[in-house]
Amino acid sequence: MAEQSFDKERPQDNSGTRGGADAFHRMPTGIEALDQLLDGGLPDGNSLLVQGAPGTGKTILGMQFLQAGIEQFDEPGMFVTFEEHPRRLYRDARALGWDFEAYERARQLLVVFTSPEAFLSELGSDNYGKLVREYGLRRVCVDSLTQFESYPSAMEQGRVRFERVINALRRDNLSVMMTRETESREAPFRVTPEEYLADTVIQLEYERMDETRDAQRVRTLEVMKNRGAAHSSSAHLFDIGVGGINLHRSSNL
Amino acid sequence: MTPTLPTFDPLLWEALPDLNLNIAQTAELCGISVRQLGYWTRQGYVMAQGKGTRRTYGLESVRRLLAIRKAMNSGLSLRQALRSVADLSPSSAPPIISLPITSPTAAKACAFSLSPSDAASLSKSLHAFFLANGRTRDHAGGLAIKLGRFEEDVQAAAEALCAAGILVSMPCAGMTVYRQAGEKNLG
Repeated sequence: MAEQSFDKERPQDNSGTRGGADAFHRMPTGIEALDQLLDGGLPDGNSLLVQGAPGTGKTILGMQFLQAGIEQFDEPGMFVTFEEHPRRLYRDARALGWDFEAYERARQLLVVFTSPEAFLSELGSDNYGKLVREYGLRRVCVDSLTQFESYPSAMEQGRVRFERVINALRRDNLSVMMTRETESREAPFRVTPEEYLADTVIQLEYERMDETRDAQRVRTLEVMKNRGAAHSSSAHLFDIGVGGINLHRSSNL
Repeated sequence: MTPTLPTFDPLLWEALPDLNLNIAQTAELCGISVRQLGYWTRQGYVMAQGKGTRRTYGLESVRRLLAIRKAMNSGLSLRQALRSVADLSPSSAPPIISLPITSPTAAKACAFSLSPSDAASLSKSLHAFFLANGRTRDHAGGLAIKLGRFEEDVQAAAEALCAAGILVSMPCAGMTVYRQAGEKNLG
């Protein structure tokens, strides 16, 4: 497979996660083309970080991750939002053809509106563990890690704080997707603690094809890292419409 | 429910010489996108310290951005707006007026200029907020940002709603998190 690469780092000990990790056991995200790029899906227990500039589609990919879990695998999910009001998320989901309010009524989805500080405190005191057990939650999307940077008074700095979030959610056997804002273009050249610690990193871009003002903008998705497994090493074009992100698997740049 | 800031007192504004906001906070405060701010910075329309996502903006940059935005809101093109603020100096800078609070950062940055709230009406607003956003679980500081109010006032209102059985408070890791009483699944 010419365009694939393999991250040499071995999967870390995920004892306590679903059935113990196997480097070759995959958890399909349910987003078909993305699963193909990931050689079948996320290695079991891998945390997924989706990063990109504002407007690149991170939140939509997060919503799609939960929607696919509910519709295809009967896996209830939780969307943790720090800034976006739930009403706006419902509206945006409707535009993509998903009825998040109906999922909530059916106890398949929780949209939790909180702040980074309260979220960290409640993670530590197992309040979210209670939610996970009561609703049988299997997937969670945290939107977005960038909000933690707005709270310099929070208990820990960057890496430790992020590690604590990941480990607390893993403790509850959740498949974790997190979003993070980066500035386009520069992001791939500046490695952050989040990128070191996340097992799988996806970069979204929405850029002009060239520097001219009338150049067409294109959306691309690239798997930057997939610990313990092979993945596509190319950027792939995608568009956003009803059904969410539509990845053009064959349209390599 | 989009509260509007009162006229910004330039004297209070001058009391923030050490203002140092990151790119996301600056964009939110000035009502422009991060992408737009990044582009304006790269073009040299506004000064920033640092590079990339580590850029920070001080008082003069924020003042300049607000003046550019105000000029553009009045119908000027970006080029015309830049020309109009070319000789902007601290003494000639226009006072910042009536910016709608569109983001937590803007609310946080400007909270000091809001008049004190009446506890009863704030309790009503807080209750309405929880009804509209049923799965909210947050501490007084987080709620204050979401409502654009003083933390102390929100804390008092939240406690009043707890006493009325509308909210439940959960002490946790040194802070108190509030949620609706109807959300029965949490400890």
